[in-house]
Amino acid sequence: MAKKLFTWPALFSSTDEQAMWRVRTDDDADAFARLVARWQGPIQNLCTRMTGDTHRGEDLAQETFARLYAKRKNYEPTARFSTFLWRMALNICYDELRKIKRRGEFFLHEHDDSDDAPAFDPGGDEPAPDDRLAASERAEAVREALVELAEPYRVVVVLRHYEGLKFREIADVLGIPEGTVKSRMFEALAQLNKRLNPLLTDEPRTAPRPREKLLI
Amino acid sequence: MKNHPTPDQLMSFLYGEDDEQQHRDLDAHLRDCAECATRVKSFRAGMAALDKWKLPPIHRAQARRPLLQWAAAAAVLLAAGIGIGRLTANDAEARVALQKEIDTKLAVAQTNISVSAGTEVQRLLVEFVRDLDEKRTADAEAILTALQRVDARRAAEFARLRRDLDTVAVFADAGLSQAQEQLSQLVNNTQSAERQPGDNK
Repeated sequence: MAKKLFTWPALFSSTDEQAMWRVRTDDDADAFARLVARWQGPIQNLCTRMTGDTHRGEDLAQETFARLYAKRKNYEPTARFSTFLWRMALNICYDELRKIKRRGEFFLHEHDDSDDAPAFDPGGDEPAPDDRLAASERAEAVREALVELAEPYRVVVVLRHYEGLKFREIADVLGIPEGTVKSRMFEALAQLNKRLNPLLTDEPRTAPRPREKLLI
Repeated sequence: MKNHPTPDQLMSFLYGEDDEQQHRDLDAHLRDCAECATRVKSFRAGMAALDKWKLPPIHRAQARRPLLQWAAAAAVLLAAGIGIGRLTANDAEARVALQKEIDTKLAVAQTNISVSAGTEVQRLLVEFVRDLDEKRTADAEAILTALQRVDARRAAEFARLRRDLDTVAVFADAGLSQAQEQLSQLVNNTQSAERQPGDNK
């Protein structure tokens, strides 16, 4: 069957760049609402992973969209909207991390209320309480290991591993060569492996569930 | 592939960003090189561990419009409650009346929901407009300050230029007078010199 060149929804839907251009030139509230709907998830996840804090991630995502609207005139149509937005969100994360350092805050542990606990997706069926506890501990260990990584390494892991950007795209967002991105990713994974080593070796402690993959 | 893969090649391989040929070559190398195979296995384990930290899904509509959802839920519960109460009467007239009542309640609930949604959109728009106005005012003030600064600088330059021109004019005037005097003196001297030989005769 011949490959479809376009689909009807794609024909009538606007690209992010077109929507942002309308926001810039006409202060189009609908176009802005569409951009927020499309990008709220990825941006909130980025901010949460960068700061290691779900609530802070939500606040920073909101701040990102507020700044996006305030700085809409700075958007150049030659630039990809995603690159523009990732950069803006990262700058807000860096500002927040600087404030955290200045105040001498520690954010190695998530808040105690259950809503904030890192979620573990059991893969459909309800896990046993022991499994749930073990999964929660593993998620917390990963979160801590990631937060302990230096920012230049953490940002590469978050953008590549969790947000699914290509190395080339990360290089564009960070304004560094693609080779540097890959070396940082290599170094970041090596450091994470060292930090997560107890977790990796502890993994076979409990019998694997049928739908759960073994780490090694 | 004879040499061990570089970190760049390994990362492209692990995240599936290399081309088919490179992937096949590295795969072949891993079959022959236990050291690299162990390293790749370890990286894959680390990558799988990263997947253990999952974030809860984001329910934007729930987070943004709780009032709207509560209103809808209340309307449905109200309609259901009335329905259950009236159905027990088992009367044709009562059913018609019930249907009408449900329709009215639903229409009211729908209107309320629309109004809430409209209010929220309006509130957001008002916020945007206020932000926009603040930004415009700030911009206008900045532009005004800049213009005033430019104006002041221009006035200062003009005054300096004028002073310079005045000085030049004064000097020029003095020079001209001096030259005129010198010329008249020269003319006098010349005339007296011409007269002297005649006098001698």
